[in-house]
Amino acid sequence: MKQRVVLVDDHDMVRAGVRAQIGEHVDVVGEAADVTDAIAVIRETSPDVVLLDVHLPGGNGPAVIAGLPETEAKFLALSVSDAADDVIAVIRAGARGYVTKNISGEELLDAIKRVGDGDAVFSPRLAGFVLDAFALEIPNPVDPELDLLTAREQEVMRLLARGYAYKEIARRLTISIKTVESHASAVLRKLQLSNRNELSHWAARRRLI
Amino acid sequence: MPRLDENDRWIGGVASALAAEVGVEATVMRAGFVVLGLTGYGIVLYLVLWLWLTIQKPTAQPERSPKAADPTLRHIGVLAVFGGLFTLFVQLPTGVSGVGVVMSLAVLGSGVVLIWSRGAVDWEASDEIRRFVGGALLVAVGLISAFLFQFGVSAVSAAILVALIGLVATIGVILGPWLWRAGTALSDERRLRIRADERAAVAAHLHDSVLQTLTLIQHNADDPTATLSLARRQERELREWLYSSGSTSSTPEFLRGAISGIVGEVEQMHGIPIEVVVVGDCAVDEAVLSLLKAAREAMVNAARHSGADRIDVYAEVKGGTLTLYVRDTGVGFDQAIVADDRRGVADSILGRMERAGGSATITSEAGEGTEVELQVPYSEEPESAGVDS
Repeated sequence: MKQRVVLVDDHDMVRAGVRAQIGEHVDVVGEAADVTDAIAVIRETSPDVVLLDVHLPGGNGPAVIAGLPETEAKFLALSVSDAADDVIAVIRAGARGYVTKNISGEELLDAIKRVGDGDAVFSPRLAGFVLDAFALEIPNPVDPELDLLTAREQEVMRLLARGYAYKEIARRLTISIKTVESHASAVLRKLQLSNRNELSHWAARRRLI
Repeated sequence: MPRLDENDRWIGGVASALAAEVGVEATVMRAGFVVLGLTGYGIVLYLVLWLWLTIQKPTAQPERSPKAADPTLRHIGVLAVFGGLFTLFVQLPTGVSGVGVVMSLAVLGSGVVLIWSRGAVDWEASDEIRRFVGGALLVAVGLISAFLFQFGVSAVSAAILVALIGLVATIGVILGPWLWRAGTALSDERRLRIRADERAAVAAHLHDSVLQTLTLIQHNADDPTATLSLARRQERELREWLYSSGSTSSTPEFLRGAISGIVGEVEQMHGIPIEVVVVGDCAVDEAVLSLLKAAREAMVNAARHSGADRIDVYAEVKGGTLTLYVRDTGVGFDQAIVADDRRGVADSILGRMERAGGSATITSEAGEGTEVELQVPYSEEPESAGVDS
């Protein structure tokens, strides 16, 4: 069965472009151009996956996620923005992944499928951001596990940053794709839950190039 | 000059005329006169004012601008005037007590000043302000000197105190809002100027970069490779300008800036998108420069020979070592076969890295793509960026 997808982006051209890229393989059930519409459309259509622009009129991407606490839909952030604070805001709001708009149609479809299955999607950029954010070794006194990446997680992130796909990472580390996926999900969880102040300081001070 | 209005009057129209002049509700003025009338003197005052207003020749009067804001303060002023008059009139039949009169006059005076100052006054004109301050001072001085002559010194000290309090309060009411407004106006102006400067800088930048590129793209509309590379280069430049303006790490003296520069060149020359991720930052010393040259060669090779539609570049600065990966998912090659005629790989990449005290590893498999891993020790991290310690 085709996945049901809603596109949220304030640029008609972008929505039309994305629809053309993926429309054959998924079921685009709705579109919205701002926060209010997005919330209404997602409520109405209950899609599997929402492709969510980070910058939106009326409150930006995180506002859409915050406005739908009850939804089953998975969010995949799709943006041209590379500003680290944008990336972190949407991930921490609950998005399951972040890809940039110059991603190929094939990669985007793969990312949508993955997010729909409940996995995490890391573009090389997001992986680099994670490595940078967790580079500081300040243990969290409350929950040190949330603040540090395991050696394996770092390895996975590094390969993602180098441009490897999950499949390639699995082969290279001689582990199963499922294991790669579970590492990625664990990192995403840490990124969302780690309350180290450092993350926000980092985001304010630093940008990814 | 107050004018009687035939259409808006209960008795002579004095109250509504004064109300219109001062800029308050006629009801307030009427109520005031009714209360004053109870003392008897109020009726006399009303008749005198009526007579005075009636014998005024109606002169052509320029349209007054609507009263300035703060009608509340003007109402308070009117009430103060009536209050002052009322207490004064009440005291008249029973004999005058010094302190009582002073207080009545002080209330009356503050009321007058309040009305006067909250009328159609241009707060920007320093003339007006001088007049108000002068007026207030005159009222105070007048009150004090009058009582110096009429009553003994004992009453005078109380009188001076009351008058001074009234004066300070009055000046505070008058000057407070003005000072506040002047302050706001100043910071508004500064903010506007800064905004205008920023806008000009943005406009200049967009003109030099984005508009030029859009023009070039229009000229090259039938050449997809050129169009793509122009668009990519512009995208990269704009990102750099948006996200790293002002930071040292965007300059070629530091790794991030230097990599951006190289990637931009290669993209432009070969029309292939290169995804760059950099973690940390370091100064570009000689060893780092060698690595960057080798990295450039690796990117060019990937662009020329791999047939991939994208190149990934990842650089990581950690623990004294800079590691950079250039990866493509193109055709790949067998190193043993091409080693002899590919001097580029041997000299530009492997040899260069060895001379710089680093290392290079090339991993390639036919059909699987190629990855070049380069490593050198670096000497110095910038203060504002890099992996913090």
